[in-house]
Formats: sequence, C-alpha cells, structure tokens
Amino acid sequence: MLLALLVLGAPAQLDAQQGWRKWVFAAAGAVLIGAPASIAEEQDDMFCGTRPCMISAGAALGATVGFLLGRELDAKQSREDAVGPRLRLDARAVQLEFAPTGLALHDGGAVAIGTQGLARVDLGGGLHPLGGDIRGVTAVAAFPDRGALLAATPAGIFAFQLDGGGEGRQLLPHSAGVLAALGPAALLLGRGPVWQRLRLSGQGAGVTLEEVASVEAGEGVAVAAAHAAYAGTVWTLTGTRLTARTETSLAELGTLTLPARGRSLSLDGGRALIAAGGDGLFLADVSRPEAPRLIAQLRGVDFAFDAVLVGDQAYVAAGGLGLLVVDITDPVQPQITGVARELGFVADVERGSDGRLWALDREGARVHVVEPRPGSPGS
Amino acid sequence: MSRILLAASLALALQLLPADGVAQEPKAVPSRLQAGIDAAARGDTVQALAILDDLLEADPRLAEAHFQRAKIYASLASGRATQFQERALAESALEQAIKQDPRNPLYLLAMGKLMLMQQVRVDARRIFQRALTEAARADAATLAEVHYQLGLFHETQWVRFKDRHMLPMGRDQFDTDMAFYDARWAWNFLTDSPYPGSDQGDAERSSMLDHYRAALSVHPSHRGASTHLMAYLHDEGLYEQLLDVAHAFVGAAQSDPLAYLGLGLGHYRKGSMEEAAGAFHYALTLMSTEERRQFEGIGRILSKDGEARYTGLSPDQRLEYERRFWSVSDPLMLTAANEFWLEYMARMAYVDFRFGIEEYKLRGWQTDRGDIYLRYGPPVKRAAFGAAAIRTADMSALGKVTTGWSYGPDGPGFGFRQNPGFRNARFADDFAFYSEDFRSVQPARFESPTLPERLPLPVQVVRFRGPEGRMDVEVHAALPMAALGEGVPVAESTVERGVFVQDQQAREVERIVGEEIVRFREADGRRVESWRLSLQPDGRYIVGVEAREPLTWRAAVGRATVDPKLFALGELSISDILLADVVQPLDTLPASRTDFRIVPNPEMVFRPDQGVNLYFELYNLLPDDDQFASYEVELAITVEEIEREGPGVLQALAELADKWGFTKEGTSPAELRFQKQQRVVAQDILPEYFNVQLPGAPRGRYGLSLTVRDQNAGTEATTTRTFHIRPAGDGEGS
Repeated sequence: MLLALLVLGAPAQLDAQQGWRKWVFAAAGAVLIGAPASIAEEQDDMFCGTRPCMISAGAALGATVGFLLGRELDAKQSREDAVGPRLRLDARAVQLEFAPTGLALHDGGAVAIGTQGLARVDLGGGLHPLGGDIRGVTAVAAFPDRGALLAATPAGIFAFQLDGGGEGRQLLPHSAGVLAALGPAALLLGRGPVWQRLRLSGQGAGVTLEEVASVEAGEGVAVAAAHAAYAGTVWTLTGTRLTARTETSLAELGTLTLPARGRSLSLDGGRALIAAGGDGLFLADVSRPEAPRLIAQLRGVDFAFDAVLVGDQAYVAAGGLGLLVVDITDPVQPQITGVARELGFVADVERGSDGRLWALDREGARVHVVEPRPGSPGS
Repeated sequence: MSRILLAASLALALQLLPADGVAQEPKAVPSRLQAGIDAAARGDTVQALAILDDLLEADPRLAEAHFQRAKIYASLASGRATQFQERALAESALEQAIKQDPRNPLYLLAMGKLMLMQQVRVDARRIFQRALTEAARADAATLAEVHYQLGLFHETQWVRFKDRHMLPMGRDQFDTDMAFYDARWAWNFLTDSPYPGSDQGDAERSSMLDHYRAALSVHPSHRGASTHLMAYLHDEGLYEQLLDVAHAFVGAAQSDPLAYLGLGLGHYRKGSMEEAAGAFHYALTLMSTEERRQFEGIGRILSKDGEARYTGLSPDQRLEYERRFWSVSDPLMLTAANEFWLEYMARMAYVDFRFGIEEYKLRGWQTDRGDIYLRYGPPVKRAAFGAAAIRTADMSALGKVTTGWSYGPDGPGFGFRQNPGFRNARFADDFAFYSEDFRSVQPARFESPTLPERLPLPVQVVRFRGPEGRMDVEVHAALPMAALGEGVPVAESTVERGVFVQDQQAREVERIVGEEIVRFREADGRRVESWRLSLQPDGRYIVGVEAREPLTWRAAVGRATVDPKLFALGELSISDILLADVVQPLDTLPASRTDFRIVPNPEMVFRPDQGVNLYFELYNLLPDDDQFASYEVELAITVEEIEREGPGVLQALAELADKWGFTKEGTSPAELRFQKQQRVVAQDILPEYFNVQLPGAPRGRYGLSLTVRDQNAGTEATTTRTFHIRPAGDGEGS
C-alpha cells in the first residue's frame, strides 16, 4: 500500500493533510531497506552482523532517508499550497512544434507565436503551421472573416492566409509592438509611442491597409490595447499610461498613469486588469473613459505575465506557478482561489468568445484549451 | 641633577597626557577611527590595524574599532578551507564587537558571513536570522544587506542541488582524469548520469528568491540582490523577468554600471540588439577607468601568445587592438550591431553576476568557471556530483563537489571542484593546464541568437591594374538564393546584401549595401553578383560579401583576403586570373574588359565536362619597331590534390594527359602545360582569355600557373590560381 502511494500518488483526502509524506516515506524506506536485511546471512565477524541488528540498522537507515525525502516533498507541497489551493481544470493540450512566445486569439481558434514560425490552433485542437521559418514575430492579429493573419516582425508587417495556404506578402515596411483587430475591417497598430488605426480591405494574403488615424502617445512604448466595442472606445497601454481613445479618430478621452509599466490589458464590465510583471496586477475602473482611476494594485504573484478579467475573477498567467485564479470581489484584499499547476509554465492567457480560456505553456510548448470553473477549486 | 629633574618632568607630563586624551575622547575617537577606516580603504592595512589597536588599547569597549579590525582580517582571509588564520582573528574581533553591542545588525551580519566562510552553516543561518530581527529596526540598506546575505546562503545551497546528477550505473565517481584525456568519455558520462529532476533544492530556491526580493523591496538599488536575482533568471531563461528586474535596478541606481549591464543582458537574450548595444555602451561609460579596462580587455579570449602580445601593448595600443579585433570578428557587417561583441558583453555581465564573489573582490571573469564561460559560452551539458560520491582514494576530490562541463562529444570538456557550500569552484586536477592547452587550439567560440545560421557565400577576388597607380579589385560572389529563401513564407522578400572592405588597420574603406525584392520561388538557386572597387595597393584588405533574408534571419557570409598587388609603370605584369563559366569576346579584336561577356565562377569549381574559362590582362608589353608586341603564354595545370580514394591516381592522371590533348611537357605526370604565342598590335592593356577543356578530370584541387614572356623585352611575369573539379550532382559544385 505504501508503495502504491509512492508510485500512484496520494488520494485527495490524504493530500489535504499536511506533512504526511515524511511518515509514509519513512515507513516505506524502513521496509525497503529493512526487509532485505531480514533475509541476509548473518556475519559473525563484522560489526552488527547479527540479523536483528542488520534489520534494525537497515530499517533505521531507510526510515531516515525516507523521512528526509518525504520532508522535502512536504515542504514543496506546503510552499505550493501557500500560493493557493490546487485547482484541477479540464483542459485539452495541443502540442506545438516550436518554442512558443505568445498567443493571439480569434474567432475559431488561436495563433501561437514561436521563436521560429507561427501555428494556428483550431477549436478542435488541430494544428496548422503558418509563416514558414519566420523569426522575431512581435505581434499578430487574425481576421477570420477575411481569412487573413497579420504578423509584425522587425522586417515589417506581413499578411498571410489564415488557413496556412499560399504565400504571405509584405504590407508595411516597419515593425509594430501591438496589432489588434477592431472588427473585420480595422486594425489598431502600436509602434513605439505611435498608435494608428488602419482600414483593412481585401482577402487572405492580399489584404491591403490604409491609414485612417494616427496619434502619438507621448513617452513610452506601445504595449497592449483592448477594444471596448460597446462604448466605441479603444484602450491603449503605452508604458505606464492607460488611455481611453475614440474608436475612429483615436482622440484621447482620458488617461491614467499606472505606478509601473504594464505588459497586458484586459477589459470586463467597466474594469481593466493590467498585468505588470514583478509589480503584480493593477485593477482600474474604466467605466468612465474620461476619468479612469486605479482601484488597486494586486500583489502576491511573483510575476504576472498576462491576465484576463472575467467578472470578479482574474486569471493570471504566472509563469512557473501556473494559472492562478484570483477572486477580486474585494479588490483591496484579493484572494487566490486556485492554482492550476498542471498547465505548466503559463506565459500567456486569453479568453475566447465562448468563455473558454487559452493558456500557453511556454516550457512544455503546449496550448491548453481550458474550461474555466470559477470559484470551484479542486475536483 | 638637572637631567633627573628634566626626566621627572617629562615623565609627569607623559602621565598627564592620557588624561587629556580621555578628556578629548568624544572628538578624537571618531576622527581616529575614521583615519583607520580610511587607511583600510586605501589598502594600508598595517596602518589601519595600528590605529585601531591604539584605539582599543585606550578603550577596549570600542565596538566599532573591533568591528573594523574584523572587517580588515575578513578581507584578508581567503575562501580556502586550509587558510584560516585571518578568519580566526576576524572572528575574535567580531565576538568582541558583538559583546559590546549585541544588537547591532551589521556586526551580526559580518559574523554570519564569516561563519559562512568557515562553513559553520547552521550557526551562520541562526546569526543571520538574528541579524534580520535586529535589522528590522535598522535602516533599509542594512535590512536589505541581511536579506541579501540570507539569499546568498540559500543560493549556495540551491546551486549545489540544481545541477546535481546521479552517477551512472556501475560508476563510483566522475573521474576527472578520464575526462581530461577523453572529452567523449566526459560527454557520455554526463549524458548517462540521471538527473533526479528540477525539484531538488526547491525549498532553497524559494527562500533565496524570497530574500532577494525582500532585499529589493526595501532597497531597490541593492547590487548583490539585483545581480544574483538576474543571474538566476538568466539561468532559468526567464528573460522578461530579468528585464523587469533590470529596469527596476536602473530606475533605482541610475549611475550603477551593473544595472545597465543587466539591462543589456536582458535585451540581448530577448534578441533586441540595438537596445542591448545601447545599454552595454552606457554601462561602460559609467565604469571607473580600471573597471572599464578590465571589462573591455580581450586578453582572456585570445590565445596565450596573443594575450602576451596584447598585454605588452601600451594602453593606447591596446585600445586600437581591441577596435581592430572586434572589427575583424564582426560576423555580419550588414547589421549595425557587432553580434559577437554583444555576445562577449553579455557573457561578461553574466559571469560577473553568477560567478563573482564580492567579499573576495573576485570578479566573475577572474574565476575558473567564468573564464571558460567567457570563452566558450554555456556548456551543452553540465552536471555536479556530490562529495559523497567521490571515492576516497582520490585525495584531491575528497569531500568536494565535482562539476563537469562539456561542449560536445568532441570537446572541450572541463572539470571543476569546490568545497561544499563554497561559492568558488576551481579547475579539477590538470584542467587548468587543459584549459590553456585547448586555448591554443580555440581561444574562444562565439555565436549569437540573431544569427541562427550563417551560410557559406563563395567569393572570387580578382586584382587588375587600376587608374593612377591604384588597384582595381573585382569581387564576384555567388549568393545562395535557394538556401536563403528556404522557409521564407512570403512570395516576395527584401534581401539585404552588401560588399565591405576593411584595410589593414581594420577600418572600413568601402561599404556598398543595398536591398532587393526577390521572388524566391522564381529565383535561381544561386545568383552571381559582381562589384569592381578601386583600392590603394598599400596593404592587405579583407573583403566581405554578405546577404541576409530579414524574415528568417538567414544570412550568407563570404570573406576573402586581398594582398596588395603593384602594377609598376613600364614593367611587364599580369592581372589575377578571373575564372569564369563563360568568357566570350564580343569583338573580333577585343581591346578591353568591356569587350567580353564574362560570367564569373565565384566558387572556382567546375564540372569535368564544363571547361575552365580564364580571363586575364597583360600590362606593359614592350612594342617592337613596328609597334607590335610579341609574347608567349604558358599555362601549367597542376594536380594539387585528388579527392578520391584508392590507388592508381598517377595512372589516372597519365590517362588524362592523353585525353586532354594539350602539349604535355615536364616530367611530372601530375602537371600539364599549354603554350601559345602571339604577335599583336601593342597596347597598354592587352586582354587575354583561354578556354581549357578537362574531360574526365577527377574530382580534386588543381593549380593554374600562368607565365607570360615578353619576347621583345625578354622579361616574364607569372600569376597563379587554384580551382576545383567536381562532377555534377555531388552537391558541392557550382
């Protein structure tokens, strides 16, 4: 039974008990080393050569080694539990063929950005390579209605067919840090401190771009953008500046300066969640675009790579810690309600229109399509 | 009598003096103490100790003087387990300091560090914890320092675990003697040693990170916590987090070069070359003269002889040497950044963060592991084997951790040893010798994340006489379009290409770059590009031709060295031989280069049935009275190397001689001669060409020797060339 526990892992009831491993491992160690001693031949000419002595010594040694090993595992479990309760989410993994660096969602799937190439992952889990050996992709935006994918690289912005067929085409000779689809016919492009709205026409790799509006955001570099279609606004994150802009002319409506630089931006229900790396998360009230205000800075996460806001839940891509579910009902005292470690090194998280989450496991080179079950840790 | 009175008066006066001194103590002690501290800072430890001893003689309760004495002895102590005298003196002084002021966190911290040096780890930890409690009431810098020391404590433990492997079945040790003699053995050993998993030492890692972060939260400009945290994040490949820490460090310590080195390291690993270059350059400007000299010094990545020459130069000469070194070793002149210089800077930053030991004033590049990392980068395989796994017969390894680094089955491989818990590791056994020996074979090895592949780009350089005593150089290059276009996902791509010339001083004297939109699917597999450049024949040049596809970052690089060739006025001379696939005169009496259609062969590789076409120019043939030049051209083809196996090479050549049908002369069966006599209207430049058929010639390297005899002047000139014959379809032909 002890061996079964060691090999198969503990049942949830036992796992809930802190510090069981050291005792189980000590017992297992005592049996594993003490048992062979019971059938060993007695050695009269050596110290502790009698069978009782050998059994006792072997069992003591095994118990000590097992105890130390188990204690180490208990400590690890305890550290993991200190972050938050374990959460097992139903997830389907899609193995990528390259080391991924980012993920961009669209209706019908996601596009994984890699150090060498791109791949489209469809809703059924199918993997479709895109973009050949393209390197240095900084951002992508998909336009399913036009069957087009736009990718920004240091060599320019390129269009590809979303289904992976045919060859791509260069649209613009410069790079971009942010590409965001504003509906089927408009692209928001962030490059350095400049934001541009571009009109999109055509199909597949044959799409063309035409500038509609362009603004300079002052200091900082374009980091992220989010579209609040219901309000006719876009929110841009440029360094530490979170700015509301009109959807059409990109005219500034209001700005909030954050305490630190952000990495990603997610909107939901009049609030914005900004992942800020080592500075944790910022929660802002953006219900009034002309007067955004900071509600709280949420700490307790070593490094927030990315985050998605869904009602009062924040899903945080926390790297090696996995995917964290944070309850922000009380934003001043956020609670980590679950930690999904099985998802690997989560460096990016996105929410699909169907409510499913897409998490990128950078070290395991996988995309997980996750069914979220907010507020129900464990299973 | 008067002498006795005088002596008595003096004795009385001297007896009174200490009383005066005591009376003045509140003012005198701090200034004397400061004098001692200043002497220690100057490195005058003898004077510093003398001052402190004087102070303590006057007042043994002066805790700060004890503390300063301890600091001096601790700074003199080495990390070697056997050299303990200074550590013992330091410990004694610290005990006195703590006795007088038991709640001073700095004293406790110093005691903890000293205990760490002595491997009294449990007590060290206890004292650090005590220091932490006391430091909570102290200033932020002290609290951060205590957290940092605790972080270091856990880091030392964690580093022991993170690379720890188990010995392969049936092996009782990592035999550094075997590893020394057989790099493949070392590679296989490291490959076969099971790795228990990255969870080992997880508790130590977690505590380490907690303390480093705690240190930075109270004192964001703390150097040690910042650099060690960045080293950890670098090791784990967490470059976003590294950049995050570096940004915070820069924000808190804007004049600290280490902060910008961290920023450069992060940007470099993320592939942002321009940002990395900016950060590294700025870091250099913030360094002291000596630190900058050490940082930029390239002696350690040269061969031993090269280093000796380099260190023998004056400071100005060294700067010039460094400039030339980096100019010549730039792997891709097309790009603004020198990728190898950036790699060097990134390695320097990393080794300083990872292997530097501040308390011993040991910079990372001064350690054995730092030295190897700096030269060859991160090892492909590394494994540490615990002290207990070492057999006791190997006394040098007794009780020590042995670490193996291997760079591949063919080496190099290195072994290091360290006392458990010590941060510095030294070469195991004879690896110091091996390191120096291998250095003579390969002083350094560089690669760059933005240069995933450098394809060969064949270049043929041909020297002609130029105007006004100059030398015209034709550069013919074969751009490997098929290989460049492999995996390019677009129908049209802008290929960058250029030709670069550096003079003997490694100064760029010519740079012609351009972009071209290429449709790879329609392009030929190979594109020949040519340039004609005019150079002064006053030194050796390096000619580079490069092409880069910016979407896949594939680049092709060709380099050729060009020696100066003087075409003296009034003297018979010959240009280099231009080897071509096609040389076709466009005129019945061609008078210049432009009267020919020439398709150069940059690879100088021909198929046996293809024919070798030669173009060259004769200068200053002496005209006779009728203004005619008479000359004889002799072309000798020498087989330099036959690239085929088995016997009978000479017979094959003899058969070839018949097949080729040339006038065969000479006694060597591996040489064929062809002669031609001409009498033409004399002119300043006389273009000449040949087509040589070599049917059935075996695959190999051939030499061409062209001799021209001016029959009017009775002079002759010779030029030579090498070319290859390769059958079609063997993958290396043109």
